[in-house]
Amino acid sequence: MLSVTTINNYIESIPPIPKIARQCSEALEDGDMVRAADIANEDRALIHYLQNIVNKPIFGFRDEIKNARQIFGILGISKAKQLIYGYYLLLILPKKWQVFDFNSSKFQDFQARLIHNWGKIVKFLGREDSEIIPAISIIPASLVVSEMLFSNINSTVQLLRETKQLSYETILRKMTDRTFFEISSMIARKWDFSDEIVDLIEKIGDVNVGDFGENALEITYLRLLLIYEMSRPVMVQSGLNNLFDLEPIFDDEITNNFYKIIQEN
Amino acid sequence: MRPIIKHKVAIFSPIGFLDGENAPDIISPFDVDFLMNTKPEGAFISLKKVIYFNKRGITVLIESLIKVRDKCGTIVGFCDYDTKKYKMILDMFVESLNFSLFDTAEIATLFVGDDLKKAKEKKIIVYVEKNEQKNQLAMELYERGYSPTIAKDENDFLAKRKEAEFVIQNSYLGKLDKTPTVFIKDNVIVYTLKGFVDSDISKKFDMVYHNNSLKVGFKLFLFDADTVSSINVHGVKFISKLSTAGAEYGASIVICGLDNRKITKKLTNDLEDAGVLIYSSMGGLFDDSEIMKEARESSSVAKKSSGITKKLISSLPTIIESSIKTIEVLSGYNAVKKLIKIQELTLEKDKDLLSVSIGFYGDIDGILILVFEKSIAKDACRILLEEDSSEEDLVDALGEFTHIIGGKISQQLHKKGIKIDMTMPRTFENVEDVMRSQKNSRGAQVNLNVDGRDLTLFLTK
Repeated sequence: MLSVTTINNYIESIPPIPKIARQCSEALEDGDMVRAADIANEDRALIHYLQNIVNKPIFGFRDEIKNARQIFGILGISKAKQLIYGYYLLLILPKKWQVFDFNSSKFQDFQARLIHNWGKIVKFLGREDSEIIPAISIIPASLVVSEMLFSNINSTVQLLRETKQLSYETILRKMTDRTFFEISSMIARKWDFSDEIVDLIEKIGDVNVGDFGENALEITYLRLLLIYEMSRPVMVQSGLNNLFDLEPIFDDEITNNFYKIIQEN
Repeated sequence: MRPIIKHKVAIFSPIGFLDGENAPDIISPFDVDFLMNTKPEGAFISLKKVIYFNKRGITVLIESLIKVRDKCGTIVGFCDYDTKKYKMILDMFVESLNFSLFDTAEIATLFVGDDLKKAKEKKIIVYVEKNEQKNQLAMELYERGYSPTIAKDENDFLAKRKEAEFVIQNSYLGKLDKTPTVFIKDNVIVYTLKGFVDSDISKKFDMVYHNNSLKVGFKLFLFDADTVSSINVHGVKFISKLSTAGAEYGASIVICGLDNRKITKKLTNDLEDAGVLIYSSMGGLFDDSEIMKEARESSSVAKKSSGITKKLISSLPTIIESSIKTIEVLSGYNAVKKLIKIQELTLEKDKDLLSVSIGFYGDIDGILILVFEKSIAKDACRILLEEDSSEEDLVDALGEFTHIIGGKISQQLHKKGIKIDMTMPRTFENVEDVMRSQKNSRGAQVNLNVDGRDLTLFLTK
């Protein structure tokens, strides 16, 4: 059985952000892309990650992008921040996935698709400069949290899910009264993300569609994006499509707009 | 995506967006094979959590299910949608709607599957714009023992719908080629035969379900031939074979609804020679108090012998540990062993207890009985229960919970090279029934303390 103690122990085990990644984020916060790129160049693992993500086909760059200045220059501050936050998640990535048929490469593909498609959405919404936009990068933490928490009770949970159509989120909530997004927001807090981002991540998983204030439209689209990405073939094959219990949004105009944006190249 | 199968109905529940890109993974060739092996009576795609679908996605899914229908006679279609989605599907398949649509998964199970508990008590209202469909839906419900209210017009529907538990408004009966179908009435397994009963029956008949029912302890199996056109020598041979095989378990095969236009005198004699009981109508059987007594007194599990064996005892630690681990994971409490003893099942009758049994067969045969104090049953099943669950829901959930324990035992024994299959669980609402079922039978009794409350495991053969 999972418990709040299991979750707290897990959060405690998460390492702090490495110094270079933190300095890089701070430089980006200050709007200094050159300094950020120069800091990033000092960390080979970070550079390798950035190259790996940016050169994925979904970003559509014809020539290989090699150094941090190029990467940040082409992507701009908002996406550069998203990539650095995405790098944080490598710290908690399991070496071997046991619950889901997933791996580090598929995880990075997922991150890349999320960042790319979110970019198209915020452009459509005209909110490219919003402070909360980089929050998308922390959401894949939910996948990792699920893998880590369920790995010890996997066989029983699989039998449970063969008996009843329950999402992992529902099982987690019934066992611990927490959602994946609440746990992801705890990780974000541990990594000193702003209160606004921590709050936003928590709200995405709110089972009651509540008042999301000025970010309501972004959250609606963000939920749609998550629902969409979680229903892609690789996620269905991996079993991760049954992770969340996000309340679907049945608004034709928004859904059709969303599908149009996503289908555009 | 593996479907959930309950009461012989398989439900796939895709989430999010359904299009040509992901549909082949939602029902994969592996899933189609799985369905062909399990032969459910119905297989449906729930659109409850689908927020967007297009024709390509829907077509790929239904084509996969139609493959299953063509081989096994399974009724296929969609369920759990609103009026808008219903109309979208009708528009997409305006010339070629050859599958079924049901407002909800619960409504689908009114038409398909073996869950006909308290059929007469269910408050159902049917109102579909097209009269032909409305009548067809209502007729099918009557045939299955329900008493639906049929709304004459929209005003009548609006006035009566508030009292209904099941509102059938956007349902469509597609191809219903279901022979034989099955349901359980008063502890009798009823197979409904239709049309010509010939050698095809052996292909479409769910032998696994039948054998499981025998192992779980059902004693009376009725073939309702009321709407049969005729039955030939192959059909008779098949039913006769079931009768002979069932005798080993003390089970009887009954057939009703036959007359001399449907079957020859010689074939009738062949059935009788094989021990098949022949009644003129279904009512005749259910009015026969003597044979119905036999059905009601069926034990929890079929027994060819009683008492625990050495082979079973050697697997006892695995069975106990698997059971305890599952109970602990799902309830959140530690389970502490208080007693392990070979004895007859001994229970404290004055406690509020719920019991469930599950049989297993294969390399080893046995029966595991779990007896829960009601409060611990509620805790153990809380993941499976909604907040406002009834007593009946708890009993159902306990069956599901035991099925999970059975699965865990099967997994763990498999690791030790012992292969077993499980029967479906059987729940008992009172302690006397389970005690009676185990009278004079010795087994390994394990008394557990779960958070200060009693939980008993009893393993026997």
